[in-house]
Amino acid sequence: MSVIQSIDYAAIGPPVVLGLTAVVVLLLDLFLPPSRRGAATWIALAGTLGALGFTGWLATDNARGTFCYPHAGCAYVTDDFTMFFQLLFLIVLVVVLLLSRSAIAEESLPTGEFHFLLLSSATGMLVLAAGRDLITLLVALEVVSLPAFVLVGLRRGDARASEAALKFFLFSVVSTGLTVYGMALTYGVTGTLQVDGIRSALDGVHVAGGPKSSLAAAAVVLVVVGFAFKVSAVPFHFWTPDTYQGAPVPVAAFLSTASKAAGFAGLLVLLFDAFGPYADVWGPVVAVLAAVTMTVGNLVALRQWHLVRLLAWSTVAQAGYMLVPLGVAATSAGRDIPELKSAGEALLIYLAIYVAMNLGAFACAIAVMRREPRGAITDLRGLVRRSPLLAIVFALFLTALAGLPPGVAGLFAKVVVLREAVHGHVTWLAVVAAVNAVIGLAYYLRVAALMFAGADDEEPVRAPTVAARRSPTVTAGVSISLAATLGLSVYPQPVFDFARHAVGVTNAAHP
Amino acid sequence: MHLSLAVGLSALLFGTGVYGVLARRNAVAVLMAVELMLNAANLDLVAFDAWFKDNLHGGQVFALFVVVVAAAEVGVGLAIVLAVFRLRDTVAVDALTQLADRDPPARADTVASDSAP
Repeated sequence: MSVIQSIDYAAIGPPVVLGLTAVVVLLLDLFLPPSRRGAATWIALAGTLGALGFTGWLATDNARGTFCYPHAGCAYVTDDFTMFFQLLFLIVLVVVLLLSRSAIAEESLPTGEFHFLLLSSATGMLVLAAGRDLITLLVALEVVSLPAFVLVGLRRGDARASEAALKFFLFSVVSTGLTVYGMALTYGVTGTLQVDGIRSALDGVHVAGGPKSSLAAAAVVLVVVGFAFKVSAVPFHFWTPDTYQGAPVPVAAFLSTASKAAGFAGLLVLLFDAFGPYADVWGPVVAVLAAVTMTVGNLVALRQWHLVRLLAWSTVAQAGYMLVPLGVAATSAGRDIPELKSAGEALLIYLAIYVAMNLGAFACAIAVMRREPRGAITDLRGLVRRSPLLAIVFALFLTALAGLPPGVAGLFAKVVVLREAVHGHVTWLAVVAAVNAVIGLAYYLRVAALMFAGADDEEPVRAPTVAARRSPTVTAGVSISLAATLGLSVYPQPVFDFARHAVGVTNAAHP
Repeated sequence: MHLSLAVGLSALLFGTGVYGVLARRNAVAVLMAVELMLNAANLDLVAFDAWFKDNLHGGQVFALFVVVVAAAEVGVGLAIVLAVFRLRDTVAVDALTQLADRDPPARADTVASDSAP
């Protein structure tokens, strides 16, 4: 057997470009004088745009595969599904790089290390979206997570940052332990590590039944748990608010958008492709997770007073909405192939819209917290008089997250997800989601209304605690998110089409 | 050696790891328990690999990757634990309660002291 493998370097181009940029930024930081280290942002941005161009070119090309097995599929595939997620991650990375520039300077974070870690984590995400092999998926998942722990705890001498990092770390390694054990059992049942191979082997095991089938079901649940942590689904969400609050806010923005999307990418590959035959096992599990996640996230968000914590609980709730389409597999009607396919499509659409809105909300939170570092929601009172444009844009993102006009993108997302739940005959889940959408209105609108509220007798309008300084990069970050949200509100069709193609290539379409 | 012996031992190791994660308060002990979970998976992978007589040795290769991942996790984890210990003088996970859901501060300026150096 030949041990020399030909590698399609064009296929792995985007992560290679991003990884090399990470190393260049780290090395350059050693040689540049401290006054010029800010250049790291622009180098990282150039690398990201390069990777983005590369991905754009790959997206127009036919699907490629590399690191292939002798008689089975490949470990790294660039189909439309991969392209959808890679483009999403790279666009988020551009915005996060812009948003973090002022935070790095003001919180005196180490510039080179920050960019290195951020780009490394993003490199892991690109690979995760393309991985079709348990080893690739696991290693990519760890490459996403390990730099993220350090990013969270990067503020030196800050006990809260270290605490946030430790909580994030412990939850993550425990869930990795469960995932790896689940993957080992999967290998034990199927004898292969490649996703397509696992699927065809599990088809047989599921039909045969017996102890082997129970073992496979246990493996499926263990693997789902590991990814449920990544998307912060209840009950694996406890790290989320604490980590977001303790981390630099741009890092929290990155975790709540790109990192969560990476979790969903892995979840989709594993559930739809590898564990497709076991939809009757993971379907009910995911449906219950979705219902509990929405409800707990929304209810706890109601009583938050810290802006970042509020957004953190809101991302927990949003993860619940995103799990709803996967929950259709709980019923046998939802498990037929066209229904699963359109469920995956709904998840991708919701994810793209969520990432745009949520990144915008975090970007506005960053802009606000430059003036009000305390981050209390009550500090937002009367924001419209201090910076009218920011208040209007922030309110737009919050209403979009709630699913209300004028940011109709959020409404599209909610409708798409609810339609899936109804078509899949999981009506109870649709009802839970609808009730939750109403609960969500309460806290999103409370914040939005506060920004437009007048002075209160008990709590007069406070002067900004820090002199207002505009940061052009933060403004650029807000603008890109705003453009994306408005674009998705006005003309979402291209993203809808892309999502349809992206799910079309997974095995859910061809059993 | 029969497969069930290795798989049974691995399940025992995994169970011990899960118990350690849930029961221990020391962050380093939790980390050790996680290592037990990862090594249980390794034992399984290698045992299954030998059982299948896998031509590609997928299980062994996976086990090697898990070892690398575990080493990286410990490296980052101990660094974070050290950082916490230097600032807090404790690594008990239930003593880390500075970040938690709380009632809003009574007065506008009380929380600011949290973030003050």
